[in-house]
Amino acid sequence: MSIVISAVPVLIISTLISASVGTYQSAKALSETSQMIKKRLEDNNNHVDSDIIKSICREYDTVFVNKDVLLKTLNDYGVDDIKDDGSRITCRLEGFTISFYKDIQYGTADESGNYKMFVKTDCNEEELQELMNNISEQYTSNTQEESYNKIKERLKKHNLEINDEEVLEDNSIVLTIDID
Amino acid sequence: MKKQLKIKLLPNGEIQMKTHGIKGKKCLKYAELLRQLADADIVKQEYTKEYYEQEEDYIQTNEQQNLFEL
Repeated sequence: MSIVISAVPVLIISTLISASVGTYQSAKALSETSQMIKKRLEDNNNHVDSDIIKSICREYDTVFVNKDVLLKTLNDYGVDDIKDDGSRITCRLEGFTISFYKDIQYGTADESGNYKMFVKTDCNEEELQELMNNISEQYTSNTQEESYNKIKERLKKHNLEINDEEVLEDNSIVLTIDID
Repeated sequence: MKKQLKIKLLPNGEIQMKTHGIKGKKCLKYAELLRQLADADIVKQEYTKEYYEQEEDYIQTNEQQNLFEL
């Protein structure tokens, strides 16, 4: 059986089906359930209610703000099959199916504009935490790199240039710009 | 004193900037510059003693005027 619904993460669809199916055995029952889910999604403009997301997934705060940097970080980490659906990113990473949401309309955005992360509730918490620590570290490093490249490029437009660069022991980069 | 901007990019993604040799409120325009350079939001702003100082040429001009008046 397969259901194709646009603009909805694979994680949510498969989880909804398995959560709704329960002990159903008959093909007819499965078909009715999938029709019910389809109808609910269509009524909701193909978006899943945040309360559904929260009931089947664990919610975590993240340091991720910039979508491009997050996507680059996931790619750097060798993540396969990243689905980018506007304000939502879903991927599989080291056995975890993870969704990142930044969608105020559905109550899944942090007030400060950070992505929230949703992972299926039966995941190994310790392994997940270690994974997220590694990804967060890579993300912040990528953020530093992007800031560096952006600043360097944009200084030219202001007729300014970097006169000195220094990398400190803590891996901070100090740029010195002379002002006329 | 040479006028400089020192922009520090921290490994955690934060950006700090300090102005050197820029006295008075003129330094504030560089906060806007940083915002434009880095697409960043300013989360904290502190004033050093230079903010409360005046440019040396302005002080000298005042002293010369006083001399002429005498």
